[in-house]
Amino acid sequence: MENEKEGFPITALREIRILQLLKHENVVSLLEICRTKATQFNRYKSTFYLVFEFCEHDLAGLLSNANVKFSLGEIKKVMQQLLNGLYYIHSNKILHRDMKAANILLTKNGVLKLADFGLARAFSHSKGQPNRYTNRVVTLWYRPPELLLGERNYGPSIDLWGAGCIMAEMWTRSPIMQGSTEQHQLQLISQLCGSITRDIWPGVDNLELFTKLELPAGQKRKVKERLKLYVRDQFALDLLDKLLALDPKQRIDADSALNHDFFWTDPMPLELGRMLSQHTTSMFEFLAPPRRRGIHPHGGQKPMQQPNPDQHFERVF
Amino acid sequence: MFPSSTQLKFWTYSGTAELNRLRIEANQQFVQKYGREYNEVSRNEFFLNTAEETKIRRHYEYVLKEFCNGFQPTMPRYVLGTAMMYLKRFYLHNSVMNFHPEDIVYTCVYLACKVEEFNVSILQFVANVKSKREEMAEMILSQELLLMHELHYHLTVHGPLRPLEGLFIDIKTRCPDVLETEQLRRGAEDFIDRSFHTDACLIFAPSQIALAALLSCSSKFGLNLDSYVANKLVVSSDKEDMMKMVENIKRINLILKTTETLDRGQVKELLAEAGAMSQPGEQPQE
Ligand SMILES: Nc1ncnc2c1ncn2[C@@H]1O[C@H](COP(=O)(O)OP(=O)(O)O)[C@@H](O)[C@H]1O
Ligand SMILES: [Mg+2]
Repeated sequence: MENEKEGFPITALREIRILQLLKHENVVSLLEICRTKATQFNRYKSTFYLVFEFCEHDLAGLLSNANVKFSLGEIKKVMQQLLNGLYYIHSNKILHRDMKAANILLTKNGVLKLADFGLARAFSHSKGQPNRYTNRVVTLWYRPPELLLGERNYGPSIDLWGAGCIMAEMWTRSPIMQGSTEQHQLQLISQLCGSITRDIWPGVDNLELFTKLELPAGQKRKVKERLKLYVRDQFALDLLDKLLALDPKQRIDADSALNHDFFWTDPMPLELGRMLSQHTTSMFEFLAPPRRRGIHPHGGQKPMQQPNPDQHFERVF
Repeated sequence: MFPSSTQLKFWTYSGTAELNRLRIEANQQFVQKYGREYNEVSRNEFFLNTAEETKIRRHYEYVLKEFCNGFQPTMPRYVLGTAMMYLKRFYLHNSVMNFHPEDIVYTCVYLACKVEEFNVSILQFVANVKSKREEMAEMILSQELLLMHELHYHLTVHGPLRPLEGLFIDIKTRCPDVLETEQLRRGAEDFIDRSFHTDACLIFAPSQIALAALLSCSSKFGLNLDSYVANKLVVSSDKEDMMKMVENIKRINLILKTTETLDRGQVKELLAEAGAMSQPGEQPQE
């Protein structure tokens, strides 16, 4: 616990409470909380450890390993479990707010777990006053357009944008929109999903940054067209298109996504255990060779905006 | 959410007997640790017994409430409920001789503010005490982790105020013929307020306390909600559940009735006594 003027950070309190609340097959489970004793050797600062059930893989690690191949049925299984997890947390009024492949874990038996609730928080459907959550959440490459435009009264749909990015990544094997700044990210989004206009997104002009940022005009929506180079399944393309809807009100929710034909047509979702058993060593992203080297315009710079780097707050598996 | 909560799993007890046993244990543990050199007679004289500890703890429950009610900026009501629950849970396993409630009370409120997302800075917080603000801030920050640890990091508290709100909404929509619902609010909230100074919240589900509150004041208004409860509220559950609920509501009423009013003057004497024997050097380092 260093330099915490206000004591135990409120974000860490939230993470603990949220993890204690969530009990679901597709959400990582918190086993225990430990702390080191404050002694003269650590300058009377204790360190906190959150102890989780162990998961052998994370999705970023698996995707960066060219030997790991997902069949269409296996991709369906990944996405089905991911959406199941999201459906569960959203029904418990929790927003994840940091969807990305590195925060999606898989056990060796192929059970997917949403992890890293470090930025998560409870939400409410505001009746009178609009919510004023921070929009400085979600790793840039997975950040939905409404957050980039300054929306603070957002909801579960922000996580479904991330789910869309991750779904596409199951085929492309690297993040589909790797912006270097918020402006650049919006540009990449417009190039894929079409220009952000009042016509396709009623009310977007009320967002704080809509007029302040330069938004590319005249872009056509090319989600299906561009992703079809990687994704041949028509249902997959259709679901991707619905997850990557610019207007959060039109974006598909977890429940409807789970009912999408993608999951109910052949090949049906297929257990991942068999495929993963061929890759017995852990494939965490941080163990894998750095991926996408050279793709990133400002190489090396971490496109992350963690508002509160809780140094003292360790996770143990 | 309550059925899957840490509150039900870890902090809901069978009754006052079990609670008293835990409190006696906490008291004995302290006495045995620090009272080894005393003979039995002087030990009993020197240390507080459980009944005395209870009086002191209850006194600080009022201190906590008064602090919250006077807090600037105005604090949402459920922060008080959460802080009160922390205080009660803390002293189930700790003696007031070991950790002075004067410190723990403010730490409970500070932590409850954060957990309930009532965002005040530590400076704003201590602006609510009259003097020694810096010391208070330092004390709170140094005790916060201890408190969290003693609460086993179970920080989510389910209080009766939200279920009460739910009941009001339910009655208004499903029994529009019951007209006086809003009149009941004062009385019901008053009942809940009194329940904060009893063990009820360590024994019963918050929804049961809320229902007991509603029923107790509805009968005072000569309003009969029995048919609402029997036909609308618990229509799906079986007879046994119904009996259980009725019994629990009776028990809640009984606890409220039998909890003695506290003689706060007497507590002052006890506190002076406890102050004389605090052993700062021997307090466990946290
Ligand atoms: N339960 C777990 N089992 C195994 N590895 C895990 C587990 N939780 C996290 N990890 C690994 O550690 C990385 C960082 O953990 P995470 O919880 O995301 O913390 P951070 O907030 O630092 O991103 C993850 O990307 C994953 O590779
Ligand atoms: Mg992470």
